Amino acid sequence: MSSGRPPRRLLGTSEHGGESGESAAHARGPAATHTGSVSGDNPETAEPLSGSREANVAQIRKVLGNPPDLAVRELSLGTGGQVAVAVIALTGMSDADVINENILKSATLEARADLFDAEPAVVFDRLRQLVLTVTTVLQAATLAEVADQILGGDTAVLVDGHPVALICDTAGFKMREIGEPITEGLVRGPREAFTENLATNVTLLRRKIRSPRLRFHELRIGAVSQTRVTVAHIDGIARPDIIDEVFRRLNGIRTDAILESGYIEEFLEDHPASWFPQIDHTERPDKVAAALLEGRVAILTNNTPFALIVPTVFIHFLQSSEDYYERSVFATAVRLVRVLGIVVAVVLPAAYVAVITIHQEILPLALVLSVAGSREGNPFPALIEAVIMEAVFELLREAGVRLPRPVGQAVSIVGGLVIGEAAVRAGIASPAMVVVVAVTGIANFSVPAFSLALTLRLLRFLMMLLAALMGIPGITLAALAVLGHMAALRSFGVPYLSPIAPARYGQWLDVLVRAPRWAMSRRPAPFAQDRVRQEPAQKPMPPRQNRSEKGG
Amino acid sequence: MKREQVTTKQALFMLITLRMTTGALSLPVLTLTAKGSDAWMVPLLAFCAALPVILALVAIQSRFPAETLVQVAVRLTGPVLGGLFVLPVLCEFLFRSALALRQYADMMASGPMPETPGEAFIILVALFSAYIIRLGLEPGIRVIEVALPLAMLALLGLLALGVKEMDPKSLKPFLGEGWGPVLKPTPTIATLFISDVFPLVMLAPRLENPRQLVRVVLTSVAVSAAFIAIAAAVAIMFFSAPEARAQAFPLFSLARAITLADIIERLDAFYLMVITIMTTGQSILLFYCIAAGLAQWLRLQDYRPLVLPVSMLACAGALLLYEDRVEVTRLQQPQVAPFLLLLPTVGVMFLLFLVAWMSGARGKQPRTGRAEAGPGGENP
Repeated sequence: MSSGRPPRRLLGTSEHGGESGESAAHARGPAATHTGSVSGDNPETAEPLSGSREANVAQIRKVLGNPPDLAVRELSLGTGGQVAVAVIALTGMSDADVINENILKSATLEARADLFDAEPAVVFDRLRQLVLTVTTVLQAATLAEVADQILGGDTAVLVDGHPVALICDTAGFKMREIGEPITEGLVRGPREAFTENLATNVTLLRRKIRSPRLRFHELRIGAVSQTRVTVAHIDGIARPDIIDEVFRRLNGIRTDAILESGYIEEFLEDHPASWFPQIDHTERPDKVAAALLEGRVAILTNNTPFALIVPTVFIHFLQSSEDYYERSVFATAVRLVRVLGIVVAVVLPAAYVAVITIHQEILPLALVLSVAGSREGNPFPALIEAVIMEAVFELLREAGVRLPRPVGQAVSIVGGLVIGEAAVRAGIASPAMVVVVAVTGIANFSVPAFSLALTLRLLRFLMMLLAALMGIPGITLAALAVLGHMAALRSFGVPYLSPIAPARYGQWLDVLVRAPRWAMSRRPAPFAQDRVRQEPAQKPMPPRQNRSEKGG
Repeated sequence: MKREQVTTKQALFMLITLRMTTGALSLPVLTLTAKGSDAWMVPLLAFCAALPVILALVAIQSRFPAETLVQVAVRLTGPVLGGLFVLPVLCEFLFRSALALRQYADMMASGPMPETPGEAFIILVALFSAYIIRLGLEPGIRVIEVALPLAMLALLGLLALGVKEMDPKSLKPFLGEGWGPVLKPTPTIATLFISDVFPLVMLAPRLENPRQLVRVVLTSVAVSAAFIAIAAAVAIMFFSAPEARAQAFPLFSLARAITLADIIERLDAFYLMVITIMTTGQSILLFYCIAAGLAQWLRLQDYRPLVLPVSMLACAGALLLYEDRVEVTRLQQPQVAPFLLLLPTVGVMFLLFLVAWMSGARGKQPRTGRAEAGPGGENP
């Protein structure tokens, strides 16, 4: 844990500068909407501040519910101590060092100077311009704004007799260090992952794409939680209609709280009832940066290390960051293995059921006899056997995830071995079935996207049912129905199966095959406004040899 | 009704699906040819014979590029009189979808799953097809776009695997009985080619690039003819001509006879996969044509609510269509098939064209630009 002092949370972009003296209410940029707010909850808080410091402090205490971590420090400034000033902050949310050094110390050093022997409005200006030494000082004129900023870790400075508060950037609290990605580990690639701190996450992206065209727009979503959400895109690459659609959907969210990016994901999907994930999420900044460079849009949510990426099509769930860090031949081979993994994860138990139940004749005689022998004494039909074993496997996996890590691993391994062996001995399952379930489970782990892996787990049961009813034609019908469903899906208007169907063969350089980087000179059409990624014809060549050096 | 669009490639796949399903399932060129050894020539001759009619159909359709046959009929003759033109066409589509479902069920009952009632196959395929086309024409066509190339590759692979067992001598003597046995079934096969192209009257207005219509149609028919010719030749070489002719489903029998090393004893399961894809693809397209046609005739906003009833009608039709497969052969005789398949389709279309010509009516121009514009719509 580090005592991180995140950068100013009103992000300084070309749209919203966050400069000293700017109104806090206007600092969120044109695209941002205050979706629910403190003022939205309570009409009292929308009131402007009064000229009385005491009344304002009392109101702020009331609005915030007089919490125990609310610190109010009263100061008397001026040669005669005639100017009363209140400094208000939440102790856990703000950086005490900054408050002490840059607000209290600065003010008290000049406390008896004639600098403050003036009208309250003049004192207010001098405090802002000459005394407070924090990076950003904003102004707030309503109770709602003041309360909002204090809740974010900023410090409010109230001058008696002046109905405007100074908001000093003092946000800082304990947060997790930047660590390695836990859910998306790689052999080769950057070792950093997003954290729960939005500002850190923004910085991680800025470090990857050092361009003024990288744009961030901040919104607040959640009437109660007031969660800060940042939309990132690269100006000139992302399509404006997609960016507008992202804002339209985000601004349409009316809920009390956003505690994780998953909350937003469910509000943004084109087809919420579908089993298939339509929005990608990642904790890897390099993956988000690559997506932004393709013309996609990222949504970062405060207090969660997962960024959302839109639009997302099916093939994105087959791709891993590592595909682009390894040479294309190996990346292609690994990607094909993943496709095989998906097919096996969905179809293998169903194929087992179909072959055992209906199509025994396709197997060689020796294998048929072996399987039949292993199923001798098994009272259940193949479907029931498969469903029982798959259900047990799912139980073990779920238990393994939820239990503390050392215990969880033990339960998974021991449970798998012991229950598998016991089931075979008890005649509940055949050894072939145990092998099928194990291979299916391993294949399921080869899917890079956890959200897609969940979908495949459900589809497996549908496939098994149809396999028991109609054999191979049943599996085929189920596959066609799933394909039809996928073909009907869209993510922010982009066909989910694009570029496979509708087929755009020119874009197949990064679908099942990952072409070398020098061959992928264009960005994917559905996302990018500017499709030119790089100069064409950059294939590396060996240096030209002199005639005398040829041969040998 | 939402305007859904079809790319040139998708249109090509659609037409191939319509033709290949019957071709790959029952291979009628074999059963209809008295001397089976020359049967592989029939599709090639039929292609030539069907060409003028197909080109005439395309020419007429091109005069009404933005409208389906149903819309033209209703516009020119009104909804009541228009029904006289519309109903035979829709009934023809229903007949064809019912026939495809029934043949599929017959094939399943003939070997792979004899104990499962045919009704189960008919209903399941119809329901899944209805589900897919209810999602929209575009998703339905995308399914075909993805699945058909895989199915065709699998089928060609299947044919290739039989090479070891094939005897080219079975194709001899070449024209041993003269041209008679080859020319006799040609009208029926040509009729099948024409009637397989006919659903274009419902689909052509959805083409993204209507100028490609002739190319699409000719390519699809040529590909289908070539495939059926190859399949017939392979079946004859594999089984010998008389034996191939006796098979109800020659390619299925071929798949059952092929062994892949010592890994897979019989490949019929793969053939079932292929034929399920093709039958579903054909049902998807025909259900769309019927439901969309009905919706246009009845001036409904959306065809989707009609898909399920249409699929149920097709199921009922499939169950009541015939008692045994001998009747199918009778239906395919040159004396019956052209009248049965062409009168309610091509006949109606020519009649409608005559009405349009006499009344001086002209076709509406197609809308320009992509209909799917909006966030994330694909760039052209």
